[in-house]
Amino acid sequence: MSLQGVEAERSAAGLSGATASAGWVFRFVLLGLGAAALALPFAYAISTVLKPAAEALSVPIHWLPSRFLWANFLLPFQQTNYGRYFFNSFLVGVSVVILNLITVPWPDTASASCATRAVIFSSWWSWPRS
Amino acid sequence: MVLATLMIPLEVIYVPLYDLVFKLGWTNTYWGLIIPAGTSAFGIFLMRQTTMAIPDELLDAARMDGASEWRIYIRIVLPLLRPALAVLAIFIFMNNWDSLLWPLLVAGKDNYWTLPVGLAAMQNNNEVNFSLLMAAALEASVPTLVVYFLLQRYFVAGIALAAGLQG
Repeated sequence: MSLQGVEAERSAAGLSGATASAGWVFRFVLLGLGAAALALPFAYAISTVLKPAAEALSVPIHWLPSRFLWANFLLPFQQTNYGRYFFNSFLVGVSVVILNLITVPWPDTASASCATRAVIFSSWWSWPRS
Repeated sequence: MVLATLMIPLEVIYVPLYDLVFKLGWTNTYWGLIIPAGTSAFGIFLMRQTTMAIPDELLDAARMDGASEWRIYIRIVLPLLRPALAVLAIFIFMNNWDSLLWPLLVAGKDNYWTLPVGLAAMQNNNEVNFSLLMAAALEASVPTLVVYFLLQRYFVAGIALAAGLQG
């Protein structure tokens, strides 16, 4: 289709270029505000890690730390059993997911329909086929 | 029956469940953390709805071709369930990663603490080290972010699927 054809179709549908782009701008602003609101706590967390402990609760928040203490990211590993917690969480999470994937489809197949129910029974029991 | 278990708040189950786990001698073990979460009513319901959507004609066609019932399950039903299983895996993983109360009950010893328990223990009454706490919280959220970015396209589908079921 030619460009003029597209233009013609658009104006026929009552969609001029201006209103369409205004809608886009509005949408971007709205989504941008939402994204900023969600990102703010993360930004606060990162800046709190990097600043010296005394600055953490200063009342007008200083978003930029006076010194960048990158070594603070190692604190959990030095002061607590953090590696162990991480390993535990991971082990439990992965094995729970695997267990679920094994156990969960079974009861469903049993209850889904008469035809599928036969899947479970007929392997060791000659169930009359529906 | 399965649905009814979804209506009860988890906290109600915890007392008898703890009693059971304690009598089995599973407190302070990985078994106590893993087995009670090993299956889920939500997952069963999700799979049931997905399995119901598979037309019986498809299975009948497979039978006509002489496939055994077991083979139908493995070769036809399971592959059709794959998107739902992916969604389920994400939901279960995230729920588990976030859960605090059960690990806190079962794991008394610091050796078996999971991340949420460890995080909660870092804030004591006298003094909170915010650098430590924030660093730990950020690092704890890294794996969920990785899972999210890897399985992003399943996420939206999953929310739509779950919302459709509950609505």
